[in-house]
Amino acid sequence: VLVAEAMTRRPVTMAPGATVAAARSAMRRGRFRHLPVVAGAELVGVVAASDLQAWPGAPVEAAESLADRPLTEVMSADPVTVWPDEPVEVAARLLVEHAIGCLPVVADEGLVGILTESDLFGVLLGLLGGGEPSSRITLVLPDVPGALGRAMTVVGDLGVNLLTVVTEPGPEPGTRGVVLRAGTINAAPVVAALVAAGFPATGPGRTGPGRPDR
Amino acid sequence: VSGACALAADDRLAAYDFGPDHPFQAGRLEAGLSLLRAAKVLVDTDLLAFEPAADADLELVHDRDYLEALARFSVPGAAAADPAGATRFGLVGDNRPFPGMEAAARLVAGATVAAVDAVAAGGRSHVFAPVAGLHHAQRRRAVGFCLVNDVAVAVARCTRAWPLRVLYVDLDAHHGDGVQAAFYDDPRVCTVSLHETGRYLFPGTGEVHELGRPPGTGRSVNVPLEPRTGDDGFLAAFDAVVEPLAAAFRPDLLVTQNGCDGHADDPLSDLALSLRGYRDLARRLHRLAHRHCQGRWVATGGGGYDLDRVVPRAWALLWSELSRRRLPTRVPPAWLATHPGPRPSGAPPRGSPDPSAWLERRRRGDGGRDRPGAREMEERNRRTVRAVRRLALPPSVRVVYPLAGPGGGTGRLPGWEPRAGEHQAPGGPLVLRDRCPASLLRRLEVDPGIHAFVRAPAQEREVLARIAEEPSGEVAVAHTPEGVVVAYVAVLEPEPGTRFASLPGLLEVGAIEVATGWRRGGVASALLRFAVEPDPFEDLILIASGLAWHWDLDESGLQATAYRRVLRRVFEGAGFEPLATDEPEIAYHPANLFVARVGRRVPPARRAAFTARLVRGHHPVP
Repeated sequence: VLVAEAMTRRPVTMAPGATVAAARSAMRRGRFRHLPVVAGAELVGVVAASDLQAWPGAPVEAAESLADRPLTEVMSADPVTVWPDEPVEVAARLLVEHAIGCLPVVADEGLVGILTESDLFGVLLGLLGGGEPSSRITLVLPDVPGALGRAMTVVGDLGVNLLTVVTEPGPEPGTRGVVLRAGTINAAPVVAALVAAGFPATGPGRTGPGRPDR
Repeated sequence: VSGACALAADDRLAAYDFGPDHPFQAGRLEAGLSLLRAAKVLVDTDLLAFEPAADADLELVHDRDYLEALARFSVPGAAAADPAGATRFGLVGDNRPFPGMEAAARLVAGATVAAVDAVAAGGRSHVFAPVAGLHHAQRRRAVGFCLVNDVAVAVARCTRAWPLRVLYVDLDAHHGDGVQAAFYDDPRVCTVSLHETGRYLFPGTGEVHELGRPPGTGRSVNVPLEPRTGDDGFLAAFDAVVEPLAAAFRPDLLVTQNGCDGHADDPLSDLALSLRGYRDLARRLHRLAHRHCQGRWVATGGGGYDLDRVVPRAWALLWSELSRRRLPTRVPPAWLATHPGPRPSGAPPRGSPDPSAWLERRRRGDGGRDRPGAREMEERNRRTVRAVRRLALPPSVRVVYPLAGPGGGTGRLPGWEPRAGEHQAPGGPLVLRDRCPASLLRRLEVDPGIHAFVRAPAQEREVLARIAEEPSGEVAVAHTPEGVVVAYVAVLEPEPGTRFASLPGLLEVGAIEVATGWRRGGVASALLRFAVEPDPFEDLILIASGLAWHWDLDESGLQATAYRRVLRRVFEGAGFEPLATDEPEIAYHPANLFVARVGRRVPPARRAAFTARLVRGHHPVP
C-alpha cells in the first residue's frame, strides 16, 4: 500500500492569517483533527486540534482568549512531510519516530493530501480483513520455507476462501504466528483440519477456545 | 389484533438445502415440524399460506443483478463453469449453489413476508417462521448460509405499506449484520443484536459503537458477549438492554431472530447457552410483545446446527410459548424413536443424559465463578452492557429500568422543605414544585404531550414516581392549577460504571422534558432554574449530557445543532456551563452537549478531581 492510496485527498486547508476560531469550527464541522496551513501552493505548517486549546480539558469559554490569534502563532512550522509514492510503512515509522499524528503529503506540485493516524488504521483494517464477514483463526507455523503454503492448502482443500493472511513473529524462536480471516461461518472444520495436519490452530466454534488473545 | 397464532412453514421449504454434509440442511425442517406434530401442539389450521416472494419485494433489499445471479447459478454446473462469477456474489463455500436454490430462497422470503404481513394487518397476533431469519445476506452477496435476507425484505415491505415502527431483536450467536446494514440509517426500524463477540467469531462485526447513521443514529444496537457467557449472563444482558430499549423506542411490531446456535452443543459458536436459556428468552420476548408492541410478534428460526437434539427442541419451546400450547411432560417416544440424538461423529451432548427431557438438567457449579476466566468474562460483559445502555437509552429510561447492583450512594441530597413557585407561560399559569414525593406524583395527571419514551400518560406518571422513590432521585414538576403535569426535571445519580459516577457529591440532571403544547414558553428554563435553586445544590456538582439521537427532533422541527443551542441556553440560564470532554458517548457526535454546574461551596480539590476526569485521551477535543 502506498501513501497516495491511503491518504486523505483534498484536505481542508487554511491560510496563515486565518484565525484559531476559524480552524476550530472547521475541525468541529468536518470532524477532523489536523489541518495543513498553506500560502498559495506552498505548505507552511500544520495545525493539530491540541494546538487550538488553551489547556487540555479547558472549558469552551477559557479558550476564547486564543480565538482571534492567527494560525502562524499556534501551528507547527516546517512539518515532517512524506512523498505520495512512498510505502505506508515508511510513513508509519515517521509518525512513530517523531511522535506526531499526521504527515502532509507533498509532491512536486505542492500539497496533494495528508496521511493521518486514522488513515493508517484504515490500512490496518484492510490488511487484517476486519471489513468483510469472516472468522478469525490463528495458528503457529514452523519458520521454514513452504510451511505457510502447506497450511493454506489445507484450508483451500475445504473450499474455504481466505480473505486475509497476516504473519508475525511467533511465540517461540523458529516459529511464525499467522492470523487468517476465513470467509466461512463454519470455522470449526477449518481449525480441526489445520490441527490434524500438525498446525496448532485456534478459532471460534466447538474445537477452539475462541478466547481473547492472551 | 386477533389472538390467533400461526406457523409459516411447510414441506416446500425443505428445498432450502445445501446438502447432507452441510450444517444448514433440509433435515432441520423435518426434525422440527415432526416434533411439533408428535407433541400435538401443531394442527393444520395453524399453517399460514405463503407464496414465493416477488421481485418487487426482494428488490427492496437486494440488487437486481444479484437476484439474476442467484437464478443463473441455480442451474446445475453453472458455478463450476464460472467459479469467479459465483465467488463475486458469495456463492461459494458456505453458500455453494444447489439446484433450485433461487426458488428455495424466494420461498423462504415469501414465508417471512406472509408472517409479517399477517401480523401487521392484524389477522394473526404471533407468527413463527422457523426456516427464516437469514440475517447475514447482503444487498449483492450471499453470506453465512443466507441467500436472501428474508427478514430485511419483510420488514422493508411492511414499513413501506404500513406506518409501523419495528423493533428487531436478534438472538442468534452471530451478529445480525445484514439486517443491521439494511436499516442502518432508518429511524423507524430499531435493530438490536445480542451475539458472541466478533473478535474471533463470524462475521466479525457487531461492536458496541456500531450505532447507525443519521437519521437512524442510535437505532442500531449491539451487545457483543464473551465466549462461554452462559444462560445467566445472556439473560442479564437481555434484561439490561432489550426491554428498556423497547420502552424508549415505542415499537408497533416485534420481529425476532431466534437462532439457537449459541447452545452449548452447537458446533458453530461458544456462547454455551442451554435450552432452559432459550425457553426463558422466548418468555421474555412474549411479554415484551404484549407490553410494548401491542402484541404483534413475528419470530424467525435463524441459525442452529445441532439438528438432532437442540434445534427441534428449541423450536418446540418457542412455538409452545408463542402459541400458549403446553408441551407434554416428556418428548414423545415416537419422535425419539426416529430421531435418536447426536450422530456418532458429534461430540457427546453436554446437557441432560435423559433424551426424553425437554430441558437440560440444572447442573451445580457449571458456569460457576470458579471456572478459569469466568470472572474476567463477567466483568467484560458487564462493561459492554453498561456502554450499550449509556449509548442506546435515554437517562430517564435507565432510571426506570435500573441495572442490578450497588450504586455509588455518594450524592444523596440533604433534606429541605418542599417549595412551590409560579411561572406565567403563554399557555396559562403554572405551579412549580420540587421534592415531589411519589405519592403526590401518582395523584397528578400527566399531559399527553409528554411522551419521551412511553405511550400512555399513566405510564409516564409511574416513571416519575419511580425516579422520586430512588434514594438520590429528585423530581421537580410544573403543573397547571388543575394538577396536570406539563414539564418535569429529574435529578439522579449517574449510572454506575459511567465516567463521572464514582465522584463524591455529583448528581446528574437525567431528564428534562416539556409537553409538546407547552414548548417555547420559557417553561424549561424557569423549571430548571427553580429546581436547582435550593441551597444544598451549592455543595454539589450537577452534570447533564444531551445525546443528539435522543432528542425529539421530529416534534420540535429543529436541526440537531439548533436544538443544542436551545438546550445550552436553558442550562446556562440555571448556572450550568458547557464543557469539552472526550467522554466517548459525548464525543461521538458533534451536536452532543455536556454541561456542569459546580456549586459555590464545592471544595477546590473536588472541583479539580472533576475537571481532571473531563479529558482522558491524548488528543484533547477542540
